[in-house]
Amino acid sequence: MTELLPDLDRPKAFAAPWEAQAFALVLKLHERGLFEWPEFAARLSAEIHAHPDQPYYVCWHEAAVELLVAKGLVEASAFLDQARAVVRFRASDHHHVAHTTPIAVDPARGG
Amino acid sequence: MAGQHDDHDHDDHAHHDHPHHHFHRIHSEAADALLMSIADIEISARVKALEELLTLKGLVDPAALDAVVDLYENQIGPKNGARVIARAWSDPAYKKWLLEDPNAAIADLGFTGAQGENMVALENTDGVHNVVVCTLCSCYPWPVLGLPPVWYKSMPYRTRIVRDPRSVLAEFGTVLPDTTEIRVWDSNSEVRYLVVPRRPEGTQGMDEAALAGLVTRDSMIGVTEALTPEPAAEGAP
Amino acid sequence: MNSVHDCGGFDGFGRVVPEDYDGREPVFKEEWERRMCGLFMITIGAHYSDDEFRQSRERLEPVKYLTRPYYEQWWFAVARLMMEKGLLTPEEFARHLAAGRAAAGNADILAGDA
Repeated sequence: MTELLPDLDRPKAFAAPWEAQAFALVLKLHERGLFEWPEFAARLSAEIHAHPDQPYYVCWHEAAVELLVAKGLVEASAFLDQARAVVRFRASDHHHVAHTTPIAVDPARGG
Repeated sequence: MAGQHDDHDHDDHAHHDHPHHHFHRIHSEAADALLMSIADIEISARVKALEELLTLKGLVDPAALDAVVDLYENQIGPKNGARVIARAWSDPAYKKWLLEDPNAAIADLGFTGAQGENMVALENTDGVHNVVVCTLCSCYPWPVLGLPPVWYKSMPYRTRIVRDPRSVLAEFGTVLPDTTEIRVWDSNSEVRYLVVPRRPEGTQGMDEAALAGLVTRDSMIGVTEALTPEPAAEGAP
Repeated sequence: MNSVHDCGGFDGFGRVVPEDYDGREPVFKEEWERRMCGLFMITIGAHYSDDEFRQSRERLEPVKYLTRPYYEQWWFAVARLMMEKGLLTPEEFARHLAAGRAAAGNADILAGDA
């Protein structure tokens, strides 16, 4: 597993916030037991080999999406709809749709 | 650096000391060195020196400084946001507008300006309670709430509200039922949040001014709910 | 930028609400805070952007970031930006600060110990 993780001691582990988000998301989902690490690693490896010029975190992201869809955790069409909604929101910033998401949620219990 | 000129109305400005919008590496190291060497001198003297020097160089006008400080100390404050909330409680159409297009709805009451360019209104309901932070610095919706309180800008709040919001709210005396979901929203340079607290019980028939009196700054950040009205003291109990 | 300002979720910072908190507090506790806030308000936009200011604040050395009062962080940020922009030099800053303190010291001596 470690050979596929970025070198966090290097000053620029992530070139952009989205890379850090993608990295953290995959780690968190793995921590929650949604998949075994080799399942992700294999897809990441395949993605990198299939697209050698593609930036590392783009491969990471593609592998994550594939894995989530394959596991039935996300529907490919729902993912696409959501992505489109994000793009639409950013394109029309002055129209306020509930677009933002909370940074943390303390869920309701009982009831 | 060559060819980079700012637009200036006056053509005689031959000097190189225009405000350049790029980063001088050598200046940066020297600046750092100076700052660290004077860092333990009393802060009041350091602020005074900065203000005086910038004034001497014509970069700062002390009268303008006084005016803007007065604006934020005495004029712009949570009373603005309270009026927005009171209007939303009183007028369902305004509330709908506030939730759908907060920039326009807030601007309609005249509360626009720096740090309020992109507002999102978050409605508290019986099932959902919203609370706002800026984990990275202190982003805050100045036009409706003024300048943020010290605790909002502090490390305890910024670190703990995202990890354990219920315990932080409890410190403020706010205890919500377990059946209420708490959503924590992180302000940033693009988005500023205004929480719309729940309208308290026993406020039927109150006019907007009276309702506004129940809306505290802390309730519009989300660490408390709005105040409940004093029960009418009609004769002895 | 991976620095201590990115602090959501850190442990151990203790109580949020001061002991005697009643929901109100003055906008500025000290005069220097008032002046520093004003300095920021009239220099931002004119001489540096919001992003540059944020970045300058984030570059404050971590121990100072965590221990210095809020508006003092702004002093570091604005002072650094003004020097980086070439609008004032470290030398003149140091000179002016020293002169100001010397004058204040002299004024104290002349006034006697009140």
